[in-house]
Amino acid sequence: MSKKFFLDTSPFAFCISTNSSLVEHNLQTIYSSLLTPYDGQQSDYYVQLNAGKGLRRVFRRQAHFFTDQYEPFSPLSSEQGYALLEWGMNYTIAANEMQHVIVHSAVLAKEDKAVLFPAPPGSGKSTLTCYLANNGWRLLSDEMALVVPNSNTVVPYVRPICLKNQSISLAKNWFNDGAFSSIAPATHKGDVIHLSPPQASWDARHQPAQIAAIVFPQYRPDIALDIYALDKQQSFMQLAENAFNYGVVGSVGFDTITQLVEKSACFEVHYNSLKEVEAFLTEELMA
Amino acid sequence: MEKISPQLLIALYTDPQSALSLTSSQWQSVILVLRHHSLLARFRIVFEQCQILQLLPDYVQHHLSNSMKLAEKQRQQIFYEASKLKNSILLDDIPVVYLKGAAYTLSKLTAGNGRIYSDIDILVDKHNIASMTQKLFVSGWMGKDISPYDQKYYDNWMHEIPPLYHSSRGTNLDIHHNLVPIVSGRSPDISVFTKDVQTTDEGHDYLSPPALLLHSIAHLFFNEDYDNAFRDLIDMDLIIREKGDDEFWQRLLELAQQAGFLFEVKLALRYLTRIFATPLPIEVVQKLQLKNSWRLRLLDFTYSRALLPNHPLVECDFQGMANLTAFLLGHSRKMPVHVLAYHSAHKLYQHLTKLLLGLDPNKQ
Repeated sequence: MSKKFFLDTSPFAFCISTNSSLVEHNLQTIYSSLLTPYDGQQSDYYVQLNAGKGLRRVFRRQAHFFTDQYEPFSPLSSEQGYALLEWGMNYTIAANEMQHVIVHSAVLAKEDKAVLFPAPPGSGKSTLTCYLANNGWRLLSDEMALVVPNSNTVVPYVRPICLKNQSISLAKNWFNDGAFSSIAPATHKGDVIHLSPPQASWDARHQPAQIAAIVFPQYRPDIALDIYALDKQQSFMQLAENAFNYGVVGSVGFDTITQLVEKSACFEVHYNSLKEVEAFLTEELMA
Repeated sequence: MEKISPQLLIALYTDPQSALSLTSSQWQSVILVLRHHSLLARFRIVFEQCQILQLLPDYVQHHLSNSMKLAEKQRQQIFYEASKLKNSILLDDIPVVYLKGAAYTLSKLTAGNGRIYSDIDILVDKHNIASMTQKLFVSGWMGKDISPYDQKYYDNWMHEIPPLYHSSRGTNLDIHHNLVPIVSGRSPDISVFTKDVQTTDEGHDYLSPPALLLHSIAHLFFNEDYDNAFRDLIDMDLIIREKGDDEFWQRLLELAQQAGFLFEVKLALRYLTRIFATPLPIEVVQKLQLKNSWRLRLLDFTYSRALLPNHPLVECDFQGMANLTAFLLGHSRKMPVHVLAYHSAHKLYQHLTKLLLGLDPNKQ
């Protein structure tokens, strides 16, 4: 039996249908009161996460993600279903939403001053996000910065933090009372877990912030903290590379990213000490 | 989610003012169905032309304008790809004729406005395909991995080669050497069509509007997949409304006769007038009447349903059965029965292997 839920992840709302009790349980853990039974509420997107049909119900059980009727990814195993749903929701937003310039980046803020952390997988971005979100910073997003065109304004898109491999036990040690999803074992990114951000981040999910700095993080096991100021051209290239819909929003995307880079402080940090990164961000960028 | 009727969707196109009376719950379903059929941007243009776009709920405007941005990007992409293609094959002087959506856009037909594409379709003389693909490989185009069975399927039976994609831009390119599958036994003498091309200001050749319409019709009835049928039908309606003068109809009928697609034209016009009240000259209507018969009643049952929007939220009695019949009819036009039986058996075997063993037989 599949159940339908309404999930208001401001600024976009989903109607989610699933027949997997594991997925349902994870949704409740991560989103708690934001998840309600679907009763015709206005949803922007309809997504489904379903266990396979026929023989696949009992044998090598699979999870299929659909955005409406379309299945963009190959199915995964049923234990990976919740991670697949989160990625599928991200895909749905990135493929359809063209009214913000969407950058693949974490966004954290103190009051209304925000820092973007655009980074490829493996750079330790999510571990940093997780640390900051639980040490006095407000999480606006772990994956997607929604930048209002031709401005420095970033709109929160609060969703869970996606942690991989070693970061999982690290985060569980830091926050043993955190709301964690079940582990999705052996995905293409390794073992994956989703962690719900602190309540303060959820509560402020309708408050935009102004981007003050752009920091490209690089985890380096042998370096406590090195900081490199980036010139505008380097920053532009790196930021444009991380923009999901840069090509689609065209000249608006170009202008927005140019303006962002011009008005923000831009750094690359190599680090293994999260504490020192946090101190640098607070003292140098938020002062 | 609320189910909606096909008539409601048709009315949004033929009588856009009806949009003003939709409930918020109907809009949710309409947005899903139109997105599924790649029609959001097309309908935004319809609402804009009737000057009711600003009167629609913010929610609706938001999704319509998302899609318009995608369509606008694709329009630019088509012009860009066409100029790239010209550069990469220039030295060989191989004539390329644009088909379907790419042709609508390049030739600036109304049907190209707000059109969303999955690929670029071109027509090339069969003898030129080998040298052309060589050139394209050098410019970053690649073929997808396909099984030896599928390779044979394309080589022996189809009217096109396996699709190419561009390694950095991700664009898909379908190279055709005929308009309908060779195995159908009904593929026309293609020179009839390649003689009927026009050229855009930028120097790109495309099938003339009557030939474009005829191709779209043939494609509709020689296909087993009716997912895009409603969108294709709207393309046809737009071409007829924009280009349907006396000369157009005369040329269409000549072409249809030469290519042997007169019956398909009759069918298409029958459902276009029934669904969208597409305007046809009275002589054309008289000339293209279909005789009433049990066979026509079966076709009516099938196509009056299969050509409508195909989505679980669209309420249409017996659409599943009609889709199945349309699938069978489409497939049987495409392939003689013995080839179809062989092909189906092979596909079934592959499907079962996958289902039972979780193995892909092509990757052994």
